[in-house]
Amino acid sequence: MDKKNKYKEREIFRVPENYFEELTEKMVRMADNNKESINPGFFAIARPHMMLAASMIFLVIVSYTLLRFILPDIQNHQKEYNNDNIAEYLINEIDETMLLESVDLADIYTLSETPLESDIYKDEIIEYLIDENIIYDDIIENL
Amino acid sequence: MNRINSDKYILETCSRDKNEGFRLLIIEYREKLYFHIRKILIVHDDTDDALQNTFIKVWENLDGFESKSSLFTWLFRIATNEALSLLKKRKREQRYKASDIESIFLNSTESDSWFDGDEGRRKFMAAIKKLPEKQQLVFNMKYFEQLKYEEISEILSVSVGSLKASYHLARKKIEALLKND
Repeated sequence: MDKKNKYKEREIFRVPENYFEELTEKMVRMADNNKESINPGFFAIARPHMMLAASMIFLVIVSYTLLRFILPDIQNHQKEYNNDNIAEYLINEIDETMLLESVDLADIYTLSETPLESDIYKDEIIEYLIDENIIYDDIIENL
Repeated sequence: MNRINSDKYILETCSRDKNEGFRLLIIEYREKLYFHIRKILIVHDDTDDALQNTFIKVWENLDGFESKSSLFTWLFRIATNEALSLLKKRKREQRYKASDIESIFLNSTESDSWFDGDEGRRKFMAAIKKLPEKQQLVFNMKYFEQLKYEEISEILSVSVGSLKASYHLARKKIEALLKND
């Protein structure tokens, strides 16, 4: 008895008639259908991209709607802080004496002793005019 | 054509025409895999489900098969995993109890559409089903399917030494069960 017959001889289970042939047909059909789905149409290819685009649009719409709800509050706040309100706030709320106290007077004196940049600039112009022997009245006349 | 050559032919056909190769693969392995699964699940309908799932997985992964193992061991590994997964599911659903399976074997008649063979063979099968799951698998693959230890080792990812010990234990237990019967 060869190995194959010995194997079959030892088998105890029965199988419905034509089971293996039908199974083969079923599996081959499944494979054929699967092959068709391997070559998908335009929509099957574009589907992931379309899904991504749709989700982006959805996100934009949601963000816009949320901003529409939040922005009126911001605009209302801006209206509250118009010029009149700011002036009123400065008059009523800010204590001038407190501001003066917070300024270091020593710094102010130091600043006043230092020549301003515009003064230095004037001196340089005068020096230049003297060096070049240019008369101020001549310039005025030529203008 | 021996198994190595037939596997080679199937794989070559698959690389040229996947559908034709797949058809040849099913024809070559459908019975071997069916009876391997059936010994684990016993019931034909469950076996049919597991076998179909096996072939679907094979179809899906055929392109990635790199011949690191033989086609034969790859297919048996998928079939074994599918059968054991379904068995686990059935046990969770309480649809599969060892005592029920034993009574299916022992109470079936010779005209039963499920089983062939005499009373002695049914008792033999019922004794196998009393073994722990791993011993059942090893015994079936060695005794009925006549696989080499090296092949079983590759399919189940278990060492040859451990398989030899499992098979020896399984034989002793079956002998004891049949003697006590």
